[in-house]
Amino acid sequence: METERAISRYDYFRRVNALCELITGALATGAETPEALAGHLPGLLQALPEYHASLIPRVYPDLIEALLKRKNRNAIGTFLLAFQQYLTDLTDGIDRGSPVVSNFPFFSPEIFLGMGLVPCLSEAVPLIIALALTDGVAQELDETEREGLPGHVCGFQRVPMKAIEKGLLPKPDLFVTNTAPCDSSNIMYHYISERLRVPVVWVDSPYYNDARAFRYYLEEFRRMVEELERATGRTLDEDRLREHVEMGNEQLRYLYKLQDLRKHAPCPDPGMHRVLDTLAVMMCGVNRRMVEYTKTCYEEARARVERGTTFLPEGKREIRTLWTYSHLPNLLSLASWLEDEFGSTYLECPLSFLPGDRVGTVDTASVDSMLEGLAWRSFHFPMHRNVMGYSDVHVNEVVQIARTYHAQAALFGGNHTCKYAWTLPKILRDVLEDELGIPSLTYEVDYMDARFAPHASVKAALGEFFRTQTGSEPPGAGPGAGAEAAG
Amino acid sequence: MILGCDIGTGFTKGVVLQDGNVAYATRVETRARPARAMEAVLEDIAAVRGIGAGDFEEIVVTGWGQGKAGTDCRTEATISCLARAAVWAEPACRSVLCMGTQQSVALSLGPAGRVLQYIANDKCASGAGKFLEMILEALECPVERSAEIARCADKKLPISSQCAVFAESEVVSLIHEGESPANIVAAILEHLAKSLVSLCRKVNLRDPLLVAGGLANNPQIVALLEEGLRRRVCSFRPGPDFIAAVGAALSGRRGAA
Repeated sequence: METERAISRYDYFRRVNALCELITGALATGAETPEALAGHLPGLLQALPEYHASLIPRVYPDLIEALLKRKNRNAIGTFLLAFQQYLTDLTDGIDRGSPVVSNFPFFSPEIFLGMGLVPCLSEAVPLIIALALTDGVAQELDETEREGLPGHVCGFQRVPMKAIEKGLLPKPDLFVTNTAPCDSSNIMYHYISERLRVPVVWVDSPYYNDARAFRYYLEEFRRMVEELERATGRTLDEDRLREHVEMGNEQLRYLYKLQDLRKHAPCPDPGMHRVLDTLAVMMCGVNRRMVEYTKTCYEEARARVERGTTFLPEGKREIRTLWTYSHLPNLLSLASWLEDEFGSTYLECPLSFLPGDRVGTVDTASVDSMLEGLAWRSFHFPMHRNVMGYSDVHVNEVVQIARTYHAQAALFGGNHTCKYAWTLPKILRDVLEDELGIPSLTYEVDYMDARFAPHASVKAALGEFFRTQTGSEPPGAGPGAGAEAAG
Repeated sequence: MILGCDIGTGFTKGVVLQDGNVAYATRVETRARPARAMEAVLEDIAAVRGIGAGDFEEIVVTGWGQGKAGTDCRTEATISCLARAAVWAEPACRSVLCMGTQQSVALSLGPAGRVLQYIANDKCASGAGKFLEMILEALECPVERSAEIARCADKKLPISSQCAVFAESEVVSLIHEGESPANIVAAILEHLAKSLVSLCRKVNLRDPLLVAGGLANNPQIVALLEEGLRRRVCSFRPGPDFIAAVGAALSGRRGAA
């Protein structure tokens, strides 16, 4: 009997693959509104398996509306093609019997691909489901809570653990992870390892973010490769590694240029892409199509700057907004809505931003230089560089971005399960206000679980904040100095 | 001539702004019917000043009931209105505390009234006017006499609950224990002021601090705030209740003229 292929055997892969096909199919119709798309649906579904139709009622309606918009559609379309390619390569690898490594996001996949391993971003695949479907990954989250895992333990670990156990994701041969960003995630990986009986290769993240710390981290990185070779019997193939590193370099060159373009006013790059940017950086060098995604964002932004056009609605004054922690993945359409309603453009967030002047690209001269370059990038990876040492790295970076991008407002959308993050908002708010006069809004969400902070309440809080930033031109004086002294 | 209205949960306030000055101000009880309250404001203005709705260049509405005004009007965010009115009244103003019926809000302002921070009593009504109203009703004490009654207190009573409902239970216990109304009222005002001070401390307060909203009419609350915050405060003119309505009017097309 023929074994069912991995792409359909693991339901998370099947769901994500179907979502990619549905959305790219919808974009291919050329429809720019949900109403226009409705007319194309029968034809679209005729060409797709029946399973796909069952997902449609569960897709967030505002997500459909946002991704059909002209400003978003090309980038989303190219990203989904890249992600689908990743899924195809991943599941083909599983079908071939290659060892599967569940890698933490700080390691982009070049190393694993260079060793002929199958890198599975077990934390990222559920995220795609959470951002697209109204029921997201609620079932797996609830099951872990019923078993006693608290709701404030990160869904990025709870969900993959449960999904692997239920056969919704493949059981990896190894987990590879850092001892960062927080104690909670470290403990979860210990727990998952024991529960699923899957070994973990730990790469120790140093406390400080300095040259001495990097020397230590590089040794840890090299030890990881040795451990992987020992555990899987695969060795690092220099040419194959170079092929992926070069793709990654090309992708990053576009990203750095794109980040520079975002300094223009109005910002030429729509904010909905920042969630995808985070995923693209995590998947740096994974395939040619991921390069195309970043290139598409860059070329569209460059064209807007050259033509002097904007994606903001006509007459809408720009509010240059810096997201000082992260985006809200489970409300992918949020940035698009903020642009349309309030003119709030999304400059950067530390979760998708890579400081190009420090990280640069990887020297492909030798295996050693590539390992060092990849370790350097991993050392500076979003959510990794920020948690080393004191809060200075994160705070200084945010202030520097705010200054060079001429930010006018700041949003701290903290994931309530990110233990390390909650030391930051007050410091950030004070420093942005005191040094640059930038107002901040702090709000609490759960990146995996939309029920924690319902979309309507998030929109209400952000809407109220941005309404205070629009039309607040100073009026003429009233009673003035004569304001009554009380008490 | 602009009409600014603030439809609050307790009262609906209307302010007629002419040439940048308040020409008339009125307030009616909202009674959970925003559209009716809005009509009552318009009727009052017509009766007292002979100005009809059609005479206004613009009607701008803010506050809790802004979406249910039922009149041809523009709406404006309450926080923006508070900031705008605060710097209109006191150009150097850098902080505002508005103490409304259901909600109290503390704002920190940048130069020219730009809103930098704001925070509201989001968890409970214990820092808002309705709480005081409920307790005073239980004590059969008129709201307008509460400051005067509190000054007769001869004993400090602690009220520890953060929640309005639990605090109300504590008050019931104090009544049963035979404590005097003056002592209880003083304790309630102190409890309320503490909640407001704690709210203010969550934003970067800068001087001058302007207080507004219905509770700012209570001199005892204002005195306790000054004591708790260790700073002088000033009250919004022409009347603490009208701050948001003035801000709404100022946002009108020629409000600032």
